[in-house]
Amino acid sequence: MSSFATDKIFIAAIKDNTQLMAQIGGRLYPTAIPLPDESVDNVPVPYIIVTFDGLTNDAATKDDPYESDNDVVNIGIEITAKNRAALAALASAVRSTIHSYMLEQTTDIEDYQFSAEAVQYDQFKPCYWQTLHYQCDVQTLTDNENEQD
Amino acid sequence: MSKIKGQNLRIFVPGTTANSFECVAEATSCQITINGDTEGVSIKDDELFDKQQTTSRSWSVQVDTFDAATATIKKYINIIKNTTPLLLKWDQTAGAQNRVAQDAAFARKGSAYLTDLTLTANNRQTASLSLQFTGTGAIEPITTT
Repeated sequence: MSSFATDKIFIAAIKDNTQLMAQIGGRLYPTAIPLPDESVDNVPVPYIIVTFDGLTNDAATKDDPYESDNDVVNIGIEITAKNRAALAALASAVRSTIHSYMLEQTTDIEDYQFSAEAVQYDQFKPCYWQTLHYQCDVQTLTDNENEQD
Repeated sequence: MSKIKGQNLRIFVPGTTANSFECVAEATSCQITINGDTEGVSIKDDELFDKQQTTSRSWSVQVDTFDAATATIKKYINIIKNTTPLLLKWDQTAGAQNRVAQDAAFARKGSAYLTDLTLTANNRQTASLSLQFTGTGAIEPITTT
């Protein structure tokens, strides 16, 4: 799997938890809510947006200087809920879901670091939201042999 | 006049069929060194400055790779046990996986022994393989066939 598709692993992890998906009414979006600006405020909460926030390659080779066998990929998970209690419960469920999925499934994510931003309030919607940041160590150990010229 | 980027100068070792080459996979760096040896031939007539005359040339090639392919590591371990030299070349590359030889004007080939092999495997890091080739005999331009 390409390091550039690491966000798909997180989307698969959240989708794998049917209870969590039911909690958010299936409102799981990659990168952004796929609606015009004027309609975004009408999207009901809760919902989750998974973003691909960047990549650095630690083990670039002459074969591919842009993507390597060992990349550090940053993934963001933005969680939006109606009130603080709902946000706390949802964030906890997301953290547990991601952790369980990583343990149970074989993926290219060898390790990850985790941090979270402060809880914020959007007075216009209104809603509370928090972004979780995952820094993943992605190792794609493909068997890359010398090849005939 | 264009400059060469480091990733586009690569080392080739013998391939599986006769007279073929294969590019060393997943290389992170390579270093080609050609040394000239001289001997001092100063005499008292030469006053202050030393005089030298050339005696011989020697060359070596070092390649560092992140090659995790077990079959390739095994191949190099077998090569280092050989007592016959292999034909090695360096060339500018492009194309698929940046491994297609371009037969550049500066490209050269020559016989060399694989004299050092270092396989490093640190916890939570990609294993790396470092190869040191010591040249024997002349280096020659690549000829297009």
